[in-house]
Amino acid sequence: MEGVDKLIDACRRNDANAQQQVYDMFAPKMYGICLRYLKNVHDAEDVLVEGFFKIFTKIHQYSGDGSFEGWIKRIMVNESLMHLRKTNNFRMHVNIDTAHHVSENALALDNLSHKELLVLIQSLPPGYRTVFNMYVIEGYKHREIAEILGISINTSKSQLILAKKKLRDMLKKKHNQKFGS
Amino acid sequence: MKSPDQLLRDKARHIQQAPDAHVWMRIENKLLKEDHRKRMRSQWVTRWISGIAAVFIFVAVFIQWNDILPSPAQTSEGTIASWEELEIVNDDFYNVQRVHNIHLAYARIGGN
Repeated sequence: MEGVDKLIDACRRNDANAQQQVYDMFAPKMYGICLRYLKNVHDAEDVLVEGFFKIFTKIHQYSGDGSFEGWIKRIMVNESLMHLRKTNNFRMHVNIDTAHHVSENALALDNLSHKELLVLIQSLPPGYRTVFNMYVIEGYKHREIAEILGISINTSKSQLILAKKKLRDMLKKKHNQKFGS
Repeated sequence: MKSPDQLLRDKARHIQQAPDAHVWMRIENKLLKEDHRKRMRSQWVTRWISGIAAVFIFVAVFIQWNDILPSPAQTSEGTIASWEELEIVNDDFYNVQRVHNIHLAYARIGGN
């Protein structure tokens, strides 16, 4: 942790070497986040560039209270959402009544590799994918998602249920392909 | 036993992928451009401040110079406002000064 603190201090002084070290340390994880939100590799790279640029130019705003990784992650998620908002009109008009609760197959999930999971998440429609990422992975509440995305709480809930349903279907299909049905 | 959501979360949080090398170059270029922009901005600010300071100094010197110049002289013809006028009325400064002094002396003893 002390090493990271020293790097942060050096980044505050615009030390290029420290900036590159911070980038090398966190880029793979942050790129993973960008890829979860954005299907397109170029879009994910654009967001990664913007995100790290913001991190290095606003690093003096990091108070040091929470974890540095958490702070970086929040910037990346926000950048991804901003990019989505700019380039995509979320189609989130499904009502909660039309969606039914679904549960994923835990066993099928267990056998899934990280790469396979990323492909599955990326194949979700933007609206499903965004709510799924925010709720299941980032741990946002439906109320927060609704506020951030400017949608209703029910829409957020329905998007999540539909995302899970679609994921389950895809998992099932994948499982059947793997082991034959 | 972990819930499916927990399983998904754990797995998804470990998704990592190294970006292409050119991404860092793009970030580096962007940072350099920003640094250059900041420097240019601070240079402009410095230039503006020095420009404004120069104007102030010029005005101050101008005012000071005006103070150094003799105040309007009085003659029997009236007030002489400037050197040019003074020269027109009377080329001989000594005489003008003398007239002026006479007027001052009159003023002191209460005459016109």
